[in-house]
Amino acid sequence: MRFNANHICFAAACTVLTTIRSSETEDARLIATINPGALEIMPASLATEFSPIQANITLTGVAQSDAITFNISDIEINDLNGDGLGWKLSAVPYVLSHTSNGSTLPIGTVKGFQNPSDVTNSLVESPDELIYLSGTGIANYQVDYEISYTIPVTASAGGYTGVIVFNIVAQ
Amino acid sequence: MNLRTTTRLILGFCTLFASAEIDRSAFGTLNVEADNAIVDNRFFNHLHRYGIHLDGPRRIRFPKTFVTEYPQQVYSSEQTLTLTNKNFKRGWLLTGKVFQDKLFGIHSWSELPAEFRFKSISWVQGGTGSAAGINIHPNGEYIEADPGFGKGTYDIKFEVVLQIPPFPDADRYYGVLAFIIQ
Repeated sequence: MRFNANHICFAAACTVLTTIRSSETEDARLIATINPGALEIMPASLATEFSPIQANITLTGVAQSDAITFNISDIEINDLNGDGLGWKLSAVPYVLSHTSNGSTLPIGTVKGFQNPSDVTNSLVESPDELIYLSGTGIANYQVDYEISYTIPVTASAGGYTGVIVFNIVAQ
Repeated sequence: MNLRTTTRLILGFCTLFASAEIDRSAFGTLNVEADNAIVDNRFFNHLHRYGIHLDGPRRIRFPKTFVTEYPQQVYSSEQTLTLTNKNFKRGWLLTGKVFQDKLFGIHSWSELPAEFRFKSISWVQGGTGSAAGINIHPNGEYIEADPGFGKGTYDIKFEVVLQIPPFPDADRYYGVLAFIIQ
């Protein structure tokens, strides 16, 4: 009830002022609106195509677990919506698909979200889910995401592409 | 006392300054409002005997602002307060004050620091034909007319500056700016 006490004190002081001095008053209402900014994953931080960290990937005739690894670094978040809430960042990875014949490489180990720029307020609930606990807002928050794919015995040589969908919501 | 009641008391206090706007608010009337209104009206009438009158804007809206990660200063447009003094010869002191030096978020109860300052005073009509003998304090907090001066009508320019911190709550903020002449 801090507001209450302060306002009462101020009101009382002003009342005294009015009773000891002749005065005239005039007042105006002050109105300001602060509009929410964006809660967003900065598009530029995911705008490029990402390549695996391994320089050469070769078929060996045996299954190769986690042979292809992507490190998507510096995914950038801005929380400027001014809602006093934190947010949840999630990732949904899809398999890699052969660019010609449609064969796929399954998802291997998902290390997921790592190296948040604000460790104190970041909670990695699962590899694909990061919760930012503070509602004070943040700009230029950065986090990495790492995922590996496995090469099966029967994999075809060639180029593969895939998609990871990142989503951010206030909470 | 719950928060709702506190809200009423705060707005109720505003009627101390005889705000017609706030009298019409949807928050209803408390006894404290009625008591203060009586006190206020008595002195209002007392000053009117000397022909001192203030007239200014009822509402001041600030430019549209967005949440940002850096601090912002938002200025009200330059506003005009008209002071008319027909008979009072002993000088006067005009002060302007934002209630608690803050605006309050209507939903979040967040606070935005607000600064008030007088910028200029210009003679309009009557009196000595100028603004001689009337001085604005260097920090703009008050204007003082020396004894023997300050009769006539004057336009007084002022502004209010909001100091918005980084990452403010998105909200509608309200405050009260009161002028007192004594």
